[in-house]
Amino acid sequence: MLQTFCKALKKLAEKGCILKITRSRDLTLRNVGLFNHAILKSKAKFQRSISCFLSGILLLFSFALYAQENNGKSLVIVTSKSNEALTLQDVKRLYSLKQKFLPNKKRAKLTMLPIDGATTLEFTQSLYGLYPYQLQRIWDRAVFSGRGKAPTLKENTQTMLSFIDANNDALGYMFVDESQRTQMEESYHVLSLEK
Amino acid sequence: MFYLLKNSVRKYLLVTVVSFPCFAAADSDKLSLSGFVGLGAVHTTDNNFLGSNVNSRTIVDAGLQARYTINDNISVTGQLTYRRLGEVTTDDEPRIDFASIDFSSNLFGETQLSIGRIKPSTGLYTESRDLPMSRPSIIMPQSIYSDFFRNFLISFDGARLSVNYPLSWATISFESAAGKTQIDENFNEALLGSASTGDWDSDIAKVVDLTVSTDNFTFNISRFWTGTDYTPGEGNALPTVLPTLFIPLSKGVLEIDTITAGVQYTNGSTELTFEYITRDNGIIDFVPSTESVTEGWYSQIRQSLSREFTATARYEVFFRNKKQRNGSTTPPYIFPDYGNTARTTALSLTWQISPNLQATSEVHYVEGAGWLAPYVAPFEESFEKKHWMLFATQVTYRF
Repeated sequence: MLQTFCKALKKLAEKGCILKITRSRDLTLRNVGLFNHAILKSKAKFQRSISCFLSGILLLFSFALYAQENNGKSLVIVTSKSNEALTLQDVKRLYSLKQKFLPNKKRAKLTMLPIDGATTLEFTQSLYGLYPYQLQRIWDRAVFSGRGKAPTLKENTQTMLSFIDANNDALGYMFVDESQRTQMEESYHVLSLEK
Repeated sequence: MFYLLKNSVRKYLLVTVVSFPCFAAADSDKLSLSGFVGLGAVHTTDNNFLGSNVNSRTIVDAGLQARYTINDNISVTGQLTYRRLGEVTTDDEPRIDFASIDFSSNLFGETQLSIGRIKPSTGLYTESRDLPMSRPSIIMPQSIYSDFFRNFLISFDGARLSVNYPLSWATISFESAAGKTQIDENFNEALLGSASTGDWDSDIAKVVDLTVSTDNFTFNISRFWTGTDYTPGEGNALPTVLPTLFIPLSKGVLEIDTITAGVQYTNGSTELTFEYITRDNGIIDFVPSTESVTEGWYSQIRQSLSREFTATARYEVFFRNKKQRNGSTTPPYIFPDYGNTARTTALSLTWQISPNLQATSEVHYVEGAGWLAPYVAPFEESFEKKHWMLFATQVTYRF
């Protein structure tokens, strides 16, 4: 039952229907405190008790979601070993199309997963604090004025990795668990997006 | 130079550049195609935004863009667009928005030279003003992004040099461009109205633009200056609000010098924008010569309410003559004071229905008629009412 509820909660989170606090990286003690403080400021006593109850439920399931959503996986940027000099700052500039070339002076080939997927949501939120469609507006501005090229869509991580295998200048993002990450680090340059 | 070529030769070259990516070898990594179609409706309660005696019209925004990457340093890109809105803001046929060959280098920051028809950058939203899925509202702030002079301001035939220089704390972007502006029939209508049957011949326009962007802030300043020569049709004269008084038109020059400055703060779901424009308008000889400086600014908040909904609120001010901000004027035009100023409050709501589909609805409450056409000599329908409203809605599909 908990799993079903977590899935529903996750769907709501993907749609942006529930507070950002349900995202794993917002689940700090400080945020929990601030959230409760905001609810406790509510004037009506009855409303306050209901709010407190709901916040308790929400936080309980948020922690469950945290465990479910991450499942030990973390979001990483993957590129070929020839891009060892690539930093997160470069990635940030590349995906906002402010930078076109990699540190090795080759033009970057950016890839992306489906814009309405959970991985892209986590990617845009972690890197820029934006929703995916906000980042897409930045791409549109560059594409439809002749100033840049939007990332190429890859349907899943397998096709993304195959593309990176075939193109030294390609990069992408995906969720990996610890063992996958260790394995990938042997063949790829892997950058963690966790702060 | 490209802009010195004959019109027919230039058009042929532009069509070749636009179609080249489409006919190039179908290499999906090298060739990219995208486009959008936005359909909707605009309704105004009064005045001459959509046309004389017309208060409701459909709005269409469409674009098809292609890019072919030849190698890391050379690419070819082009876009066809079509816009239908009001009487003097509708394209006769799809137009080549831009079509250029781009040479890139990373010897000094990232440098790009584009030759062909290019879009200059002259404000924070120049690149996105035609994109229904990207701009903050269907009708943009008219003091800076005038729909009446859109084709004149939006792209020209020439060259653009842009440099992006990354620093540890910011990216500095500099652009410089020069070229021949696009003058169509709408330009004459928007400026002088149907009383003029004369010809306009554009001079070279120049643009410089500097943008500094950090994680949260973007600062922009740009200058755009150009001139156009005017030759009137036989017996052309402008009507005034006095039925017996006409102003004869003669050969002359229109000189424009615009400075735009803006700042934008973005923090995740909130975007705050402020932009200011000052424009020197030199009307030399074709009507009684005048020098005026128009001025405008707007402040705007764009808030993402959820993953699907974005709300935008904006307040905009415009003065035809910044030395007379109360709008007072002198004969012979005898406009009402509110015909020289405009204060606009706009609210817009965007719903991202799916990754490819978006709907926007908005309302504008306007006090004044300062930015309405025809610009040099407005007729009575331009300023029927001091207070008026504009409603717009549009659904956009992107691919």
